[in-house]
Amino acid sequence: MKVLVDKERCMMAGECCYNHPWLFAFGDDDYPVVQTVEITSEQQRKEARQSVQVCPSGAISVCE
Amino acid sequence: MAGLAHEIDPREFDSPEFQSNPFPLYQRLRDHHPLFRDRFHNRWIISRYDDVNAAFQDNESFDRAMYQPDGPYVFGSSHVFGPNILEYGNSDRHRWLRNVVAGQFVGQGLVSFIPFVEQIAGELVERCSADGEVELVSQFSNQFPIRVISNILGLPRADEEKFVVWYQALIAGLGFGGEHLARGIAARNEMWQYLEPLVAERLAHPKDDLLSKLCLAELDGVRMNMDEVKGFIALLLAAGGDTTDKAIANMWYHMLYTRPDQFEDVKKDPELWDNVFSEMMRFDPVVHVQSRFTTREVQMHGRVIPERAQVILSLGAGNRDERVFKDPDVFDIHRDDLHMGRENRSARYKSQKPGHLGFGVGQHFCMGYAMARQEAVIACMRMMEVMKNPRPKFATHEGITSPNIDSGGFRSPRELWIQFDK
Repeated sequence: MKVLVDKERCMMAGECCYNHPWLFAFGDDDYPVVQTVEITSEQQRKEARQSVQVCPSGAISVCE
Repeated sequence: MAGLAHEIDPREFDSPEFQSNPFPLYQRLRDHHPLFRDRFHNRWIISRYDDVNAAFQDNESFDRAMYQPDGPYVFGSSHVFGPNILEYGNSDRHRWLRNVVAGQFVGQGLVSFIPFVEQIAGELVERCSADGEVELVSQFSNQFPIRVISNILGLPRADEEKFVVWYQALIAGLGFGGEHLARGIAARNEMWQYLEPLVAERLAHPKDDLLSKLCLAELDGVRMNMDEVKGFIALLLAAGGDTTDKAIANMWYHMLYTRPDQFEDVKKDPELWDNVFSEMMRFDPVVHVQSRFTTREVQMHGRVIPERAQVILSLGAGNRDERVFKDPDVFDIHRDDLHMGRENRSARYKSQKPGHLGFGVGQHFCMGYAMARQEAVIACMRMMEVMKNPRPKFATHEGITSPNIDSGGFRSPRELWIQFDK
């Protein structure tokens, strides 16, 4: 599974970074950066999909 | 002795003067006691924008709840709400519980619910606009958010009235002791009894509503128990209702009495209600303080706050900080030094402008921020469509007060009479 952030759409709400800190962190430019982590467990996949749901600007997408 | 004029007697925080107008004292705090040791109430108070903002974001040093050496968290509201998400402090469990509902209030889930918010607003406006005048607090704002939240949960529409009553008792019980606490707990118990069969029903036959999500959500294969589900619902009703309710009243108060000149702009361009919301959340938000406990010693302004001390983050004071906002004591919906429009949990904005602190910042940022703004703006716009040429019924008003006995210490007008043409 791959997680992508569209910086054009991102409004820096921070929902991803605060809700799923293992997967997202604020980068130097204040935009979220997807962490280099293997998404293996079902729980991780579920959280990745949740991050799409809670993003207010619809900037996050996942490729299953 | 120099500086004595600026000394603060902590009992001032309990005075009627402070409750009706806290802002002069806020200014003395910011200018002369940016870190104030309140020995009388055994707490510390920080009041400058940058300090409050930084403390909100420093989860390593400041926790929402206090650890006992060998026990669970301590949090004041549990006796009214039952177990709830706020008790779990900066823990994984807090994050998990928050994620269960976040999808409903933020982002994509919220968008799908907006038509229903519009509908409920329309029904209520219709109901209270027949007489050419309305008492906004009791006839509209007090009822609107609670009806929305009970519908998001998926509770029966026929029982909305019950929730309005329970909710008011819960809120009063939360902020005050004595008979209010007793009534709050009685309302909670009544509501819990009511909820039990509904929870059991959702467990057996899940629907596409928030109540079902709460019942079925799992962390490491474990669901919330019945008490946790019920506590969560009590919290959602109270937190999701009271604040938005008072926000709507505060917006109208400031338009009618503080800036009738700018109200003319809003009448011409209803989109400006978004700015009214932002500026209200800065100038006089419903919630003025958040409490934290230090998890370690914290250095600030040349002093040391000890570990396990209570620290009051005075966001109401930070919002009036002249170090950040020009003419902070002027209510101005056109100000160019405040981020207008949707808030962010991260306090970072593409516009580079500072945001208000009214929802907090960071890990414990108000979960309902997007919902609250949408509800408030939709409600105000709907009212303007139906209630033509709205104006204050009385020339003078006692102002926004706190805490009134049924407000839980939040700031809002007790009553707000509006006249309009039909």
